[in-house]
Amino acid sequence: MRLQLIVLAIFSLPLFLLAQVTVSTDSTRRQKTNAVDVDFLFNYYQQDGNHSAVTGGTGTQELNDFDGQIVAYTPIDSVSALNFQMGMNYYTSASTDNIDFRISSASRHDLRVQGYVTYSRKPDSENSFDVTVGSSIESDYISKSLSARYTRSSDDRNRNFSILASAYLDNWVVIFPQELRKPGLASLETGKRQSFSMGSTFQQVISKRTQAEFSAGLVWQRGLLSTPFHRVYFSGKALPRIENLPDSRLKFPLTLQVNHFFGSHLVTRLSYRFYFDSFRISGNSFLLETPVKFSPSFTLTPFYRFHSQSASRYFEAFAEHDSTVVYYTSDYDLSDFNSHRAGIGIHIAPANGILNSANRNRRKAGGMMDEMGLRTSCLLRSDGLRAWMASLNLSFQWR
Amino acid sequence: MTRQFLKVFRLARHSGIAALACATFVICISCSSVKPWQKVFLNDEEMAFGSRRIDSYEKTIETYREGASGGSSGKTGGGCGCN
Repeated sequence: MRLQLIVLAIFSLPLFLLAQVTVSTDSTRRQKTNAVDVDFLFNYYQQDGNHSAVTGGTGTQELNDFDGQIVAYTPIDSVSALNFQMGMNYYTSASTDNIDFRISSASRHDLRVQGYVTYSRKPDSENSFDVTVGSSIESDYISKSLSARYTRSSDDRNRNFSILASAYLDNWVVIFPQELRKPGLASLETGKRQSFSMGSTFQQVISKRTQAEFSAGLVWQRGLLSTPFHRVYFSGKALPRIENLPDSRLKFPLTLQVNHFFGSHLVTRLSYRFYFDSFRISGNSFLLETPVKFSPSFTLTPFYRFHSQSASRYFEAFAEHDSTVVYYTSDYDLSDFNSHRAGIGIHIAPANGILNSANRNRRKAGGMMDEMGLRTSCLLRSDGLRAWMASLNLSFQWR
Repeated sequence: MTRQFLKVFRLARHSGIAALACATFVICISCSSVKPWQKVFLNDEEMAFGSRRIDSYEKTIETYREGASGGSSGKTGGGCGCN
């Protein structure tokens, strides 16, 4: 609650910064071509519910996550650039503390560190490609990733087509629930998971004020797809088992988004996503964002997202599984539910930088804080999960 | 894997695919050619596609909390031990 009040106070800061905004007739933002851009992102997430998978689909889901990211973009020459992204998130989870009932603590905590480097090249006005390599490390999980994307534009720039391929190669130290461990062994056996995906995106200009994007993807995962410290209880059985899911999964997401500019101040971004996979989960998601441009420098964006999904064929609630089934889970993230998320965002980008920093630094290194963004939203799920999240983005530029 | 692929492919008859295909077709046949000097509104930052950096964290949360995640949005299902 206290943190929510602090965030609300931070949201009042733009009212002060708004006084610094100078009205400009230029309706387009500065082009980032020869400048070095650095973005600082700070994110906070908290949730609570009563269907923890660690305790078989019942129990607290209280969790807090503090996330920080630094993203730096630097041009190499007129056609290529490098992008560096580093971040870490620290989370505390009351449910994962229940992996071992003998150890008493307020909640378990962990730290995840990640880093990615992207090389992008645009040799001419119609072709561009980029390659990204990265890695993330947790106390029990290591991931390495590689992705590549190619984009082709039409002569008149009214049409774009992109293809993307990526691979995640993961290793984790498997931690078992306390009562299901072999004598003397709390965790062992390195589990592997591999995720491969391919996607394509098609963008089309419809009119002077409307454009649309259609994207399709295919994801194939294999390896250890269940979570070893998730318990599953069975009807008529006292002792649980470790969650067990197939070692292969196919996912098919499809997305259509249409953006339209009404008048001179209102933009609507409407997207629909359809999803289904080999676990028999199917989902439909609608997202509506309506940025209101009070001026070229100040934009307010209310948004609402609705998501509905069907349950996996392997899901049952606490103590409802039949003991003869081969695959089983009580993870409510794989159950059938509806969720509603609503929030608001603020984006400030004055022509002379935040607090007139461009003019103040004119005779110095030339750096300035040119943009600031705030975004917060609440999530409510039909199974009782409630969450709240907030993000802050500070963008700096050096010429 | 082939059997799995065929099973999932049969699921592609879901009405959501048909609705998306129809909408995409209607959109494509209603396109008009827009000249570069007519793209004042289209070039606005708020009209751009793709996730902004500030809402990328929300996409990550969706990957954690929804079974119907992966592919075209956020993480492709790897790197975090999540869905």
